[in-house]
Amino acid sequence: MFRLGYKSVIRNIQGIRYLSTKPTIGQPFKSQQELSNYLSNPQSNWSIQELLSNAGPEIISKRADGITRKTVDKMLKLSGLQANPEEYDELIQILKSQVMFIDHLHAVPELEVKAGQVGKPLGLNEIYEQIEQLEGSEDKGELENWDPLSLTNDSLNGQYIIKEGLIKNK
Amino acid sequence: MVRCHRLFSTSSPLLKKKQELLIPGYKLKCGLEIHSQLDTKFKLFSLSKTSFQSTPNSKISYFDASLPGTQPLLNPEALLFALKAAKALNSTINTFSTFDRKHYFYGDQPLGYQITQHYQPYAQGGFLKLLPHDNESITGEKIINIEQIQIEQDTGKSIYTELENEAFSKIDLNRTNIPLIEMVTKPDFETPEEIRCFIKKYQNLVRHLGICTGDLETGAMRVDVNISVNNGHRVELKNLSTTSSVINAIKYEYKRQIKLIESGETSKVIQETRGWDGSKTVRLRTKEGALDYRYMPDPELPPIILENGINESLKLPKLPDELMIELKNAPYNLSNKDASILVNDLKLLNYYFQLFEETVIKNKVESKLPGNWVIHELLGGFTKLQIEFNPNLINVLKLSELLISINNEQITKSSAKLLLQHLMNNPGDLKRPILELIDDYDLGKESNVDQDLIGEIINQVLEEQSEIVELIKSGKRLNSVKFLVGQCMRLSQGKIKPNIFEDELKLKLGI
Repeated sequence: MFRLGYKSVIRNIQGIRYLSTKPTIGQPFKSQQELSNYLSNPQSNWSIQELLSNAGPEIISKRADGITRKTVDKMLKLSGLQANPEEYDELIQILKSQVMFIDHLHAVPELEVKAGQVGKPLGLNEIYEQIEQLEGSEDKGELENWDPLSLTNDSLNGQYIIKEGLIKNK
Repeated sequence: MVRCHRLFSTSSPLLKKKQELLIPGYKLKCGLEIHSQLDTKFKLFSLSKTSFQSTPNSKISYFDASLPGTQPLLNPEALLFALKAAKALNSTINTFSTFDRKHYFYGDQPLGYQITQHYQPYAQGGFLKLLPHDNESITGEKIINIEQIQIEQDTGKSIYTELENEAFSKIDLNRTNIPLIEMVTKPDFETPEEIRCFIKKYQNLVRHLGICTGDLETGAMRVDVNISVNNGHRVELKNLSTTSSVINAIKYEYKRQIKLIESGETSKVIQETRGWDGSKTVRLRTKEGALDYRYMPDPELPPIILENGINESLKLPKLPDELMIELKNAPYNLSNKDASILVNDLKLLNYYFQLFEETVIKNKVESKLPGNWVIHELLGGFTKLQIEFNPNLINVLKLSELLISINNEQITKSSAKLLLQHLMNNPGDLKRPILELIDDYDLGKESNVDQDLIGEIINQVLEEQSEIVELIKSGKRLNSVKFLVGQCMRLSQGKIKPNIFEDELKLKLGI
């Protein structure tokens, strides 16, 4: 029951982006009640807890089982963050949940986008037409209509500043 | 005693100078990764303008600055430029390609990842041929195969600053999200000269396609090299900002690896990334320290799906190889060297074609004149002035006026050279017709040759150059008669045709 449930739900969630979209991805919920109704819909008979666990009969995430303190060390290094040793157990648990969730998602074959499923193939004429119509948008800050440095407290001669330096040769 | 051992490898006839660069028994193998900034009006996934010399952080959209909630949208012009490159490189264009995220944590990439094409690039395969007309060192045909070409974003620029008490990096995001294509070759290069030739040819190709400025110095094109000796571990060379630094780094690394092999320390040749500090290669990171990029498909970008046959419908301008053949044949009949000078400078090439049309085609001027005057006289004039060629300084119509006057024997070539030089130094006179200038400056060719004047000039030259005259008479320096002709031309200020002096001189000297 669970398996059928979450697959159909994933297929029906309107919030999943399969391709670049305009900002709207569905009508916003107008009230808490509306949101509760949506989630209590019989079709939504799925549980995030189950997706975050290794409990599914079909999907056992080997990747999640392989997450250790070494993995956390590596992730911290890659992301440039730090953590106290006492936080490691919790971090391992969080990483495992995330990996399991992703593995559950990967197990849904419908997520794979195949050639021909998205839009009409682009021809040369369409490309030329699209180029003709290109125009920057003020709403996207493409017309030099904003000051990028206004979002930072620290800048020097019009440049952002990253303290403590970066490695010279990445 | 017959010495029958070979002193150098003869297996590849492609490079005459190969033996000078390479050490027998140590086979060099290189591949290139070249990033080229596409010269589009807008960025790759936003429509902020691309600009290479703007105030820092002035050309960035919300997406370029990675503000939350922003999304990428592919710029079709970048796709078009990338397709042109693929076609020109004989690559197969994939009708289905996708974008992926390459994660790394660095201040010049605020998204935390670069959008690239890791799993399904838009183009694969292809080749570029190195031909004898590209470089005198290439005597055959060398094919450099291409692995793949992918579209990706450029990063911002970071400048590391170290002060007494602190170290920080300054970040300019103007370059962020400028479209790039990364072209990866197979490891088909066997000598540094082939690489030099390839880089020059690739630069010229993208310029002819109008998709990239091709400049290494400005960073519009960046070259990384993979190098191995005797199929040992592959070393990647990065941070190479000029062609000469690419070549010098390869030569240094080749010798460094050979030294290690010869001293029995082959295990020290490891898979690593090295940089070039101007005099030697230095370790940046080893395989163990290699970054884990955690590639994943970008969920915000749809795949690029192209029509079958888009490759055939894409039209390209005439490319350098075709132009070389055209220029070396009728009606142009240029030498390989002159054709190569033109093909490697698009502005000069267009100028030449226009001049040829105005003079040879429309006014029956002798076909060698435009080539000689553009490449030697005009370019020489710019060199003297120490400025770059500028087609507007002496425009095509003005130079064609001058060449028509030469062809109509209204001015000698040497006077015309003086007049051209004068015009380059005094652009104010460019408004006046050439014939009027010839009259005003008394540069007209003597139509009725004054035999007395010729005799006087010849006598003066024979007197001044008595030693050379003796050598000519004795038969030792017969060719020096040309020198005497030159002296006569100088005295006549170029107004009398040189063949008149030559005939008279030969008569007098009895040769």
